[in-house]
Amino acid sequence: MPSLNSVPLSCEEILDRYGPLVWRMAVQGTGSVADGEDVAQEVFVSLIRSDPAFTDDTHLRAWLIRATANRCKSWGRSPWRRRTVPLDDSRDAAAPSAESSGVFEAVAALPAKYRWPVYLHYIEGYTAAEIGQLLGCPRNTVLSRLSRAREKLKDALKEEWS
Amino acid sequence: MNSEQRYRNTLRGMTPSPAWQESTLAAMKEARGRKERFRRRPMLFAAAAAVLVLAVTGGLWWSGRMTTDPNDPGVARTPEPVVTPTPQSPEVWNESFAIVTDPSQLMGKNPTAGRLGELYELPVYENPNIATSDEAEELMYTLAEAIAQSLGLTAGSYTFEAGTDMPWLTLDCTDSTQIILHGLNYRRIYPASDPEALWAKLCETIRTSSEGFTVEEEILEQYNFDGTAHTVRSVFASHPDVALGMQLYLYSFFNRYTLEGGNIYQAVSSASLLAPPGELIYPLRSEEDALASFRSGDYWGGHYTSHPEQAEILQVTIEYDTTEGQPYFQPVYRILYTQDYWDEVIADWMFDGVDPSPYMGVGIAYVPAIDPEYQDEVPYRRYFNDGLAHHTPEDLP
Repeated sequence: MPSLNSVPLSCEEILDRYGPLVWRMAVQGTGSVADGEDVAQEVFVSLIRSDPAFTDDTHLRAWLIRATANRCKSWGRSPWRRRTVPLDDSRDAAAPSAESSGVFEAVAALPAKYRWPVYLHYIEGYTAAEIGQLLGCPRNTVLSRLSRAREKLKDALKEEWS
Repeated sequence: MNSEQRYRNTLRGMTPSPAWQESTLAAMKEARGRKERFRRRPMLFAAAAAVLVLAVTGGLWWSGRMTTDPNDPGVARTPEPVVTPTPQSPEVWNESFAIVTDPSQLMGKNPTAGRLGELYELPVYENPNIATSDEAEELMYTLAEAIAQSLGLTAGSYTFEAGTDMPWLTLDCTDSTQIILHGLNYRRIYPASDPEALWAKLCETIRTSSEGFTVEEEILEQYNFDGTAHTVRSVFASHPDVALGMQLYLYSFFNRYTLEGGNIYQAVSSASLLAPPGELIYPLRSEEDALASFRSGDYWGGHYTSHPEQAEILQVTIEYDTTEGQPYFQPVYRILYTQDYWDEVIADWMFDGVDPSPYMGVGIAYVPAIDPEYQDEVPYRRYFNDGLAHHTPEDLP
């Protein structure tokens, strides 16, 4: 079992502590609740299979965030999924309220390099330096991507992102 | 409330359902049980572990991404390296690939196989988008009705809605078969029953309308974790006496339909593409250049490997990317590859009772084929669901 400070974590503890983080990130990453739930479940199963030992909570969160980002990127196991899964697949799935779905979709539509800094900063509260370490890029790159993301969101939403 | 606040409220207000938590917990416990029953020590993982030991004893983090700068006051939660107690490399569990018994199952009938040296330039086609309008609605309905008639179906009611990029039209046939058009070119047929019979009827229709051409069938097959086959069948019209570039065009666009999961799809109709490409002919980058891009970690697609530099290349072909959401249909290198350690991953992934020994993993990477010098003129996109499926060297561990 994965362990934290040499103490094994139960499946219930893992899901209770980190379930919302991974679930929200996967929903944001796939743009769909249905797909996000599948991705999030894969991440937790992957965690159990990988069986890593973490020295603190930050390590574990970093692992989960990177694993979720990778899973979202490679989501769609079949090479022919591209021919068969409609882009608007999520229209049949549960979604945010109509009032707020625009902003959710606007962030989901951002390229990954902009989307994850936005998500990690505004939802999970990470600083630019922390995001840089999580995503493997310099702090200034994160800052510029956040800035560029705000511009793109402003264009998409026709209002200031602030 | 501004957009930022709405975003925070939206996502923070979304929480996993009890049903998802229950099923995820069950899946985790199942994975834990399997792990305890047979823990593997594949040779490659052992080699990776040896590298890990060397790196740690040398005072180096095995992952250079998680270094700590104690002088940086802005880092409140500085991530440190993940150190695993087992010899298994954690990245491999996040890799994504198809499961086959033989790589040829995903090689298909691409006419460029073994003939890439004959191609130096190829045309690029603009994505024929269509805007929402009364005219578009009428045109799409006429098209859907014609498809229904060609399949011996009777059109019933329909709905028309504006999409985010192109309009959608859904035609309900009287037998409950649905014909769905996204713009003029992306077509789906959801059979009410007996998809094989409808597929046979469609193939017959294609043969009738492809006079002078040979209608070929391409079958791609992979396997699910329970060992059942997942088969994708496509038909397309070909002509052996035309130049390779035209053969590729026919293979990619001409009367190409696909049957998968009981539903029928057509990625792009060729009808609106046959206009002279004019100046939209671009030089191609070489196969070696495309492979170097993949090896460096710069590629596209739904499959992912954290060690592209050591992948075994099985086949390289060129095809047109006809996925939705991109501004141009352009040629891409399709690189079929495998990793030796995927056998061990598969052995762990396959369900209880399934003998993993016949299976192997193969991944497919896509690299734009247009000479990078001209790529800005015809931007490339490839999406999986709503996200760009672009892997970059920065993603590598």
